[in-house]
Amino acid sequence: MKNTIKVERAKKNWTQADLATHIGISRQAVNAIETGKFVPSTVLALRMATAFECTVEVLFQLEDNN
Amino acid sequence: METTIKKKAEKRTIITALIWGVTYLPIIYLIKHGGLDKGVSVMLSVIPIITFIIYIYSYIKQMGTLDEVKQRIQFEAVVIGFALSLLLMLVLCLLDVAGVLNDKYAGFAYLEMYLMAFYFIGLFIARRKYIV
Repeated sequence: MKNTIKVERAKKNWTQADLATHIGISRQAVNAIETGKFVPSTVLALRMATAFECTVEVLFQLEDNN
Repeated sequence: METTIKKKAEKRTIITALIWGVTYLPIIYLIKHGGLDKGVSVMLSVIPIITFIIYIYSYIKQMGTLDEVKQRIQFEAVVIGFALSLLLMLVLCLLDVAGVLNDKYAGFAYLEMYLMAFYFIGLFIARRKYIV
């Protein structure tokens, strides 16, 4: 699973800590998701999409091996 | 609001862990070296059990306040800890059957420390996996 969290953060000029505050998780959790080490639940993915004012599909995309 | 709940839960877990430590260590010492009656020793041993149950209850409640990544870390830490504990039991069982088990290093007090160490090993491995 790849994601565009870093790009979306850059658009909003948010740090990982800013995003973490917006969606109510720790900065370490944001980092783990952003680097692809952890795949978030549907609820968290939707919360992220809401924070970035985009759809989940924009944030997360399946890769060929998924 | 959410952060306050998390901090409160974390604080409660730390406090209950300290209370358990404060009750457990002196009572162990007292039971071992106090020359107490068996009945009194048994009665005293109930105290750290109760404080430990309170600590575990707070710990489990705190798990519910953690975010998904931290919950996964705790879950994996427990899985690794449990697997290592089973491995240790297997080794001790085999050594016991073979008649070469040295009770000096395999008493319940040591087992307790090993199991705790296994949890922390699991926590270390899981944290390395998810947190940079």
